[in-house]
Amino acid sequence: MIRASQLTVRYGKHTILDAIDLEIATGERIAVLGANGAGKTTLLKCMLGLVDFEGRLAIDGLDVRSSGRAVRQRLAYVPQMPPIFDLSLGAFLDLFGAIRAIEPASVTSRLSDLGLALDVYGEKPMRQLSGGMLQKGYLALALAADAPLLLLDEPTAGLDPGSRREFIEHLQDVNGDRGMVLATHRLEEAESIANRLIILHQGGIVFDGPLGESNGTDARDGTRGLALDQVVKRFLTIADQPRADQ
Amino acid sequence: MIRPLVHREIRDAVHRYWFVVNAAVFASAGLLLMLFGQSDAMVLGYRGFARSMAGLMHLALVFVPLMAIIPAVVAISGERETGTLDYILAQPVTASQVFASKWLGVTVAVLVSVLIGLGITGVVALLRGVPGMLIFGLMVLTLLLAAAFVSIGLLVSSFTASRTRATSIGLTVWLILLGLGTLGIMSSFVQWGLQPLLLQAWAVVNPIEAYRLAGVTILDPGATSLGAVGQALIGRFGQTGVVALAATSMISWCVGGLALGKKLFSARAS
Repeated sequence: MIRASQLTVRYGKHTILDAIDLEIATGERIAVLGANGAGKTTLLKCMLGLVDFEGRLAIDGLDVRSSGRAVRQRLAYVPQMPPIFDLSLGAFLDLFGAIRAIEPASVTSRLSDLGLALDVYGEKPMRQLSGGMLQKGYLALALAADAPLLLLDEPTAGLDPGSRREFIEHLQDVNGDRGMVLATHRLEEAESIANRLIILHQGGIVFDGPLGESNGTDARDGTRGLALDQVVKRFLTIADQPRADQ
Repeated sequence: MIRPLVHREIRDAVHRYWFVVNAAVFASAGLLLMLFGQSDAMVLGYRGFARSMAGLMHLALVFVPLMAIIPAVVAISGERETGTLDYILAQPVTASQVFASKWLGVTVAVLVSVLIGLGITGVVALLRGVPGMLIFGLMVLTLLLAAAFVSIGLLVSSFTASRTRATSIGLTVWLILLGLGTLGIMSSFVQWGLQPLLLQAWAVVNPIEAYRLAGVTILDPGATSLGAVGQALIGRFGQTGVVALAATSMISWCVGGLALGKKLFSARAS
């Protein structure tokens, strides 16, 4: 369970997240949509304790500020652009597997499921791997980790359409008990993976509701019963307009 | 949790060129001093064998801080620049653990590099009749100097966002501490009429000067080559006291840099 109350992040004079209130139940699959700079990555980084914020944020009842390590034990993270360590793929997986106390066989098996054989690519330096291969390495680690919640920050950014489709299929196959927060600006990805949609715009939540048979509520005017196509329209409109309260 | 990170730091350092290059350059220069130095001469108060060691010490006081500070300043800033630091901090580790692993890893790698360079020279010096205690004393002081500069480097790295900026600041700190030795600032003291006590304090506070002070005191018990400031300190604290003061200064830089760096890093990481 994630509970955010009046969550605010400021970088200098810029307010990135503006007094957000949010509750995410255990096992829920959330897609956080928004244009570039809407605050998606910042929201995930708040959950990981990587940015300073005002307000309260707790995961499974643990305060992110004071119990950061215990909180991160419950989270597995796939970053937007996979950072390249000065390591081989095998050494990278060994290092973070050891930090998270993951059985090496579990990572190898996940990687193999993702179509990347460790005995072929394990010795290759990370800088020689494609973006898709790197992203699979990060995803394999996240999936093998004993963490009930996956945080995925635009994990398909930089992938070609084929790899993107493959990546999404793997995410769809993830055990249903595991929760997910997927930051993306691709509506089709949100639709494929999530059962609830949050739209961020200029630091605030402008839409929060279920996907599929959507009957979400527009946070601005309280409208209910929006279908996905209406959400899309509204999102695209919202993305180009200043917020009503600004 | 911290062990894999420390292993990674050491493995990374050993695989990087600076580790081998530093050890090789330091050993080569030291060997040249040992093999071609005038071991039987009595110059500037040093006993014969001590003269070559004094040469080695002066080489170390320029070179060792540099070989310690450069890998240290890029240790965190480099990872911040490439984005790998965020991923490490997204794991179930604390910022303090990450900083401690950086410090341990870089310190071990730098100390091993210095030990290899100095050790090879030390063996040759031993074979040429230099007393083992003298070599051991200089080795301990040199390791303290290296550890102090690793901490200073990591302190700089804890708040800098890029490798280039961190390296610039690190080199500036090194140049200031090297350039502002007691001889370097003595004229300023004379010109401004500052208290000699301040000059003596600076000789102890500046880790490079503290190293020189302790090294010369060990090598030249007569302290004739120490200059007025060093002699005044020996007159006040005695030889053992001066060596202890200098060692305390370097240890303080080491511990202080580590503590402050950890604090800044933890504050910035959250």
